[in-house]
Amino acid sequence: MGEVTEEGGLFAEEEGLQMYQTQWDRFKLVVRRLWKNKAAVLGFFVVVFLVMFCVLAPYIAPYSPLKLNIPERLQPPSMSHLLGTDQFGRDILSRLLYGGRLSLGVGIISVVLGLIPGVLLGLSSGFLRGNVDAAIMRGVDIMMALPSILLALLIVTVLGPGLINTMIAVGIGGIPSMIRLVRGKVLSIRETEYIEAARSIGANDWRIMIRHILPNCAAPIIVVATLRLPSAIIMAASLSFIGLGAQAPTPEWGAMLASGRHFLTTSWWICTFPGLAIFLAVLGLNMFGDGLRDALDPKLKS
Amino acid sequence: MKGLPAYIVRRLLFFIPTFFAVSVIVFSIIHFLPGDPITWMLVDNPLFVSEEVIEALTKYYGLDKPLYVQYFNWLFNLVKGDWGMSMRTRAPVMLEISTRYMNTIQLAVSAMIFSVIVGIVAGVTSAVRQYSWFDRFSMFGALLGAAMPVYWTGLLMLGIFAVQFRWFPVSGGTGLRALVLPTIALGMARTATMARLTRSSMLEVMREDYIKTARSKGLKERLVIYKHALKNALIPVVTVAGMSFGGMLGGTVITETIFTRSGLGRIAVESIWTHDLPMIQGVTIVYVIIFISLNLIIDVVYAYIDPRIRYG
Repeated sequence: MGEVTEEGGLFAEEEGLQMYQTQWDRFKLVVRRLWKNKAAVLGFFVVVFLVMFCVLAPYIAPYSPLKLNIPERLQPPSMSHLLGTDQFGRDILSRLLYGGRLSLGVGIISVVLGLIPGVLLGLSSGFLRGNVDAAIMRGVDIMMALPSILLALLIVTVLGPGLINTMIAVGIGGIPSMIRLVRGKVLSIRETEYIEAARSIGANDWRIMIRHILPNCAAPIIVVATLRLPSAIIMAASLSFIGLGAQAPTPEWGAMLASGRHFLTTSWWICTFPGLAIFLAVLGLNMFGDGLRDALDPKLKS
Repeated sequence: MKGLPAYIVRRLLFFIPTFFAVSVIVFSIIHFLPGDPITWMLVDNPLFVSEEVIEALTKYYGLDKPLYVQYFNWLFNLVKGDWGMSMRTRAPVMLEISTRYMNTIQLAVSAMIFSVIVGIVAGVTSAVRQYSWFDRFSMFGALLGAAMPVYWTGLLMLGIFAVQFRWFPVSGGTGLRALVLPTIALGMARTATMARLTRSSMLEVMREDYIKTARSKGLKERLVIYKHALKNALIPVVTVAGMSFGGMLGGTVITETIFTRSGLGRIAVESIWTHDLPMIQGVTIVYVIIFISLNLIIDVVYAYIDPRIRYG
């Protein structure tokens, strides 16, 4: 006779196998739903292409992103410089390819940086309730009393300008909304029967939080993190744009836009292409994220 | 007191602890700074650094007193209206801020109004004529618009409408003409989300039974749409509009930088660049006050529009 375990009930092994199958089935279902969504597929490929180009930058970039070439400065797009050159004669295409590694990378890392504390605090807040919950939620209220860019500005002021501090600032900015999301989800999950079942066979708080509640929050967390990515990219680039993120001569999309501003009247290409790159990345991620939301957790819509 | 007035009073009381908490954070920025605040402030003026200057500044800012004394002095002066002197312009912080904060509110509010009006009109029209060319076109536009970061939209519009066509001033300026491009740049992304939200909310409401009832009563379609459907469809739209005000206000930081408009956002960025600590603190406090007050107004409007809301 099988043992009664929290995961499977009787016949644990057999049940376990079946669980694996249903998880796999669920994954296949999500992929199938996503695949049917033309916009999501298009968005996915836009993002994959952008990431691929940026990862391959050292192999495909026609020029060095940093090498100055004053005689060829401010050249419009041509065969030798597909997207033109900037005020120092640097090839814009090459700078875009290298810059994407920073702009996209900073976005991804800052989302992850905000995700981890956000999820942990949200879990504790919703699960432990009481004073812990009250304290965390007051903190959230205070953080939300500051517009997020101002919060980021203050953090960068304290930490000093630079890309790493930009990531931290943007990451911290994402924590409050993640706490709220996870907390709300936990509050509804903790009242369900399977949590009571787990508790009744003696699972401790930690185990219930990590093994039972967290997996059931996974879908909305993934969706919100994906949808947060484009705004993190925009925010990080905007910090660089006002000179507090990437520092010259680092190729970064926001910083490239900022340095091109002064040549708006004469050389439209300097500002147009870095902006277009940000736009495409954000557009692709939005389209994919919306599709992912509809496929994984349609209730999150609105 | 009951109902709305009590609700407003309660929200006003909630204002106080939030303000205190934020004031503690803004005050403690000084002590989070790398090194001590005086050297941090003088980093751009190495010529001024001498024992006497440091001593005088330490005394001026009261940094030799215990922390809680410093905080209460600072808070007291803040309430009194003495916000210190800007390191950069040598003018009182209060003066700098009070002459410019309206520009920022003006920009944020006009961008908000722009995005709410254009978003709702486009969303309703799309929903009423679902799958028409207008619907497809505006929803495609909304998809693109939502992905346009304000600094790019702003630069493109400057390049096209100010530099090429010379319809609008390239930088600075006051009055309505100078407000047009910044408003559209700042409002663009929000307009797009408003339009999408209004459309989906409207489509959902149009499927409700009371809409069928209204139609079967023989009401004109216009009346059904604008009197019955729109009113209910707008509730989630107003909520999102309210929540997005913070983003709008924060967006002024970037927008003012692009359009070289004078305002709090510009002050914020410039004072961070120039290590102008009293100014950074002042601007942050003002942003928070504006933000909290406008949220209060929005909450009241919301409670007024939707009578089902519990004043809690």
